[in-house]
Amino acid sequence: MMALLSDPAKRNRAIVVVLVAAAAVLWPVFTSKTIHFYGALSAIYALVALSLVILAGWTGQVSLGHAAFLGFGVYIGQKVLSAGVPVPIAVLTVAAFGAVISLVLGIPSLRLRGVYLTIVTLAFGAACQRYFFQLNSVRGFRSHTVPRPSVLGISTASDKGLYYVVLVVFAVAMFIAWNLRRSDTGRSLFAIRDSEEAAQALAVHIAPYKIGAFALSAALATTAGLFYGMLYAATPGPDQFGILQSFFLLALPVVGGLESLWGAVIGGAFLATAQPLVNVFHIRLFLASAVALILVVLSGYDGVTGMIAALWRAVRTAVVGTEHVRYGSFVPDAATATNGNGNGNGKAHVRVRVLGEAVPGTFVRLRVHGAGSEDDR
Amino acid sequence: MTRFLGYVVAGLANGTIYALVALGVVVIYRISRVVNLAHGAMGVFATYCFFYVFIGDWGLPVAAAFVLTLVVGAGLGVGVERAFVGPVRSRGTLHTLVMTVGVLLLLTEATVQFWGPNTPPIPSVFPDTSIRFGGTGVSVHQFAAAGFVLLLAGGLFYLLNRTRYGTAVEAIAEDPGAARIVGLPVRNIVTVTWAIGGASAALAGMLYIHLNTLDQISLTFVLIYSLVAAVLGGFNSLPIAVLGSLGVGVTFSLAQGYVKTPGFAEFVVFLALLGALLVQQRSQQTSLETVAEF
Repeated sequence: MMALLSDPAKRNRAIVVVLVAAAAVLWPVFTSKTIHFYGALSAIYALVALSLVILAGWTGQVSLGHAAFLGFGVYIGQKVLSAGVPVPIAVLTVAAFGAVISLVLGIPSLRLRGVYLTIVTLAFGAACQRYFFQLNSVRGFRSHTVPRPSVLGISTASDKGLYYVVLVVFAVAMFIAWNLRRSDTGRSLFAIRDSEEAAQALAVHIAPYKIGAFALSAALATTAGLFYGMLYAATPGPDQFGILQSFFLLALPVVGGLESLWGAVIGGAFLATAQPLVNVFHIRLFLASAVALILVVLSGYDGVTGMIAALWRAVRTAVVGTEHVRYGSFVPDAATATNGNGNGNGKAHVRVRVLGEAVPGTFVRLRVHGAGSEDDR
Repeated sequence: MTRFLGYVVAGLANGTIYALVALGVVVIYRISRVVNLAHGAMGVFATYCFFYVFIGDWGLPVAAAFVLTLVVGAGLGVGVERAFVGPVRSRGTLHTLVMTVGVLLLLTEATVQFWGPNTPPIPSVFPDTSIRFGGTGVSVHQFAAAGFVLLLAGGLFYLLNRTRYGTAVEAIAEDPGAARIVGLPVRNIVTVTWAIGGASAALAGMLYIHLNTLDQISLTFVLIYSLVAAVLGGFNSLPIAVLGSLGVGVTFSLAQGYVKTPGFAEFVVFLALLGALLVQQRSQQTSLETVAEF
């Protein structure tokens, strides 16, 4: 807590998190019912976007079968919920189901290097759209109604209630992902993404990390599917979870920003704003997202998140005049925080030794992360 | 037995078109080390131009429209490389792959936006008169498709494996900078190779969609079957890509013929892909990883 208050970078981040969370909680109070539907849909898509951030942004693997995972979440979730299972247990069941499917896909493809996961998930998406989802034991030709039981006292009969439930699930998933990112596991994932050879040289077992990340991603996507079914209160047809939808789902986190957790939030919000806009201009949502995807990838920034970060840095450099030190993904924030000489007074000691003769007027520039101070000697 | 033979012949006929798509994918992979997921969409877009613009709006004879469509396909290939894939190629596999997904979605949705979601039958340059062959009829169109595939496969194999052009393609894929230093016209070779890939996509589009209906996503499904064959050949071998595609075509046709559950064939192809990946050796793919900068 003290670190939160003393480190301005952390404090700024905490303020942003609190503001966004407050906005996410408060906006349904002031808006009408039709918008609540899009809000709940956005929260569900944000969950899918988060699953793709973990997979694509952190391990560098692209899945084109996430619509199929979403579909399995809808269809399996319908069966589980219809059996009268409470929602928290249904979430765990559906997530476990997604994780098991992901192992079947991930183990043959992720032990290899390269784009094989993309191809397998694409073929899986096609097989789901044309075969699995057509089976009567999964969905068949008839739509089924999905019950909307209340969750721990929160009624999900209205879209507003469901939105809050999804928001809680999303917050929990974000917290897990945030912790994962700061842990050794997260750093191993980044190492694998940046260079498999280098990670291997550091004795990281590559395949288990990639397979594990894919399983987590699939579990989150199927969980999103459970709520997707609840939102529509029915099981949409297999073509709603076809390969085209997978491409669209990939566009969400790419537009939001693949590396950052904020990318998932913005990816979900992108849908909420894009849907009414494209309706006004009579263009197709997928066309608009394809254009957005291409422009973002061509721009070279890491999605909208990356653009905002770059803008913020530029403005601050212009105003304050100091440039923020940027570290590679291997260096966590904690490692750069100094504890002094062990007594924890927060004072760093830097000793500069000039080899050879020091010309009078030699300029040593020292940049310290966080404090924003600059010492010239 | 005649039923079996019939399925095999039908499967081979479909397999030739899968082979056409696989050839295009492998050729583009060999020059740019990019799995072009937009390949099917490029073929579909060119075919929409063939049907709605060249035949519908301009009233051209089918043969002229056919040739013009190949040019459009080549242009699409070059355009996709120049505008979309080329600029992000130096940033690695993740970005190029996401970019091809973007192009796929863009082209597919553009066809719907321009021409609506109708699925009319389209004409072919070749007559549909059937030739009896082992208990089933094979149309002249299908024979022509097979002929194109053999011609293209043979030509590409010669070009890529026996000529200086092929060596240049290999050199550029390995290291474009070094290729430029030794005096290779890197840009021209990349352009020509993508043009060949794009034209083959347009050809596959016209040949496949004549046998089916004009559907935006159909050729992307074909792309999936072709990718199975391309994976078998490590995205590098033309003969394995062609033979694998024929194998996938026959498997698909047999599965569809004997099991009446809808979509069972897709399931079998998916299983075949998992099998193909399980037999892939780690050693085989060291050459697949090189991504260098243009």
